[in-house]
Amino acid sequence: MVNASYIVKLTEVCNLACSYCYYFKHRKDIKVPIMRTPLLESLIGQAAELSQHVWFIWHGGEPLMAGKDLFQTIVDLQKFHSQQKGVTFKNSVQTNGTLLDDEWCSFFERNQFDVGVSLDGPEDLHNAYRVYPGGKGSFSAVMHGWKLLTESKTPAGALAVISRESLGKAEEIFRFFLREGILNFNLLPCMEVDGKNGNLTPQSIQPAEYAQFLGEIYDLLIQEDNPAVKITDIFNILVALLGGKPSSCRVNGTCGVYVTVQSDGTVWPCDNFVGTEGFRLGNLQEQTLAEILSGGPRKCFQSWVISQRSACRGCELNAVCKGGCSWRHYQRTCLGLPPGSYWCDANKAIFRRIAKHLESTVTGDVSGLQKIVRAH
Amino acid sequence: MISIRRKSASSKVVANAAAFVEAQRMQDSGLLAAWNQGWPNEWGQDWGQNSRRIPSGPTEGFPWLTRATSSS
Repeated sequence: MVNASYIVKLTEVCNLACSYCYYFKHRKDIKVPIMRTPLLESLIGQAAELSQHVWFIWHGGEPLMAGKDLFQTIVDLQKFHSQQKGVTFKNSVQTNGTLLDDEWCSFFERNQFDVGVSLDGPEDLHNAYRVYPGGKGSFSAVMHGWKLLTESKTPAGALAVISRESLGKAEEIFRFFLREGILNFNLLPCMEVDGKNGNLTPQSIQPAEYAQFLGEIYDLLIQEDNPAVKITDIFNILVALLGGKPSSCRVNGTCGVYVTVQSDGTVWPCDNFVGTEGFRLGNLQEQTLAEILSGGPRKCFQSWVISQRSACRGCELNAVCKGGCSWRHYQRTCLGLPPGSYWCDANKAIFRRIAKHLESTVTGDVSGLQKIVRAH
Repeated sequence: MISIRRKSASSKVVANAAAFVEAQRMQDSGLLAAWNQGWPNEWGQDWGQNSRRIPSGPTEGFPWLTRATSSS
């Protein structure tokens, strides 16, 4: 049995035109704007053949543009396979939140979907990039959607992109989320390499800036001293440093478990690699899911991941970051930087900052923490 | 491997993460199978799932263990 979760680009289209959107570059190549029902049926059926537990993360574009009928089809198909084969399905959806209404929220609540809403923070910050095609900010619509979600008691969290605009505003962002009752959120650095000139895009931040930002957030979190506030990446780093198993593939060494399927059936190792030449794993209209998951391109990808981690041997952080994110390794090569630099520097800074705090907080065998804190 | 024998109460955030790690270890030994409800370990922790499966609350002990096993 294969254990794989699937990020599904149910739609390639979006009602927003966020200026930092990493997916925007693919829009000119869109062949199938919304996944067709036969392909969806085939994907769900094949996934159910391969695993006892299947996790779908419905993504886009903006997945809600696929419409309620298609989401109902998803649930109906899953019910069928659950009854037939005893397969358990889990569903998450990542939305920009602007299309949420009572009906959507009730659907998600009823069918136990987890909902992630893209929300960058306070109004001015959010509206700096997250705009409609005419340039109007989406903040009010997103907050309305969030309110409906919480009223429906649907499990929800926010995902904030940390761009150049966010730098120096860690406390403002942190306080905003708490004030709005958003206790479950994550912070995603905007780090896009411009394919034309090989530099980071103007909205992007440097890894060191992200490390500094996350460190400030960590201090605020500790100061707040409320364990109900959960910032995914920080929680994962804490778990890693405390000797546990973090869920994030960015720190647990399991690259390629979030297989991504585009609406035309093209399969990629993860969401970040969509459209990246040389990383395509196959297409569901030409091969079966099993063939793709056990095929040559995926094996090549795994070998490439291992090769990227060759510089990790001897690194004091390797035991806790497990080689880090392969996409960041790929970006480093695009930027022409040597192994062990770029994202690794940021990782070292943030892990060291948190390890230093832990060293003074926990008791027990802290020799591992000391190694990280004192390493150069 | 970093080993935490006793959690400090000086930070509830750290104590909560330490309790989670201890729960993972118990789960590995089979004690938390009911809590996990059959989901692969690496899937159970993402924020989306977490909001439902791992309630926040008291940081000492394993508050979610009692809650989840009694409802499953």
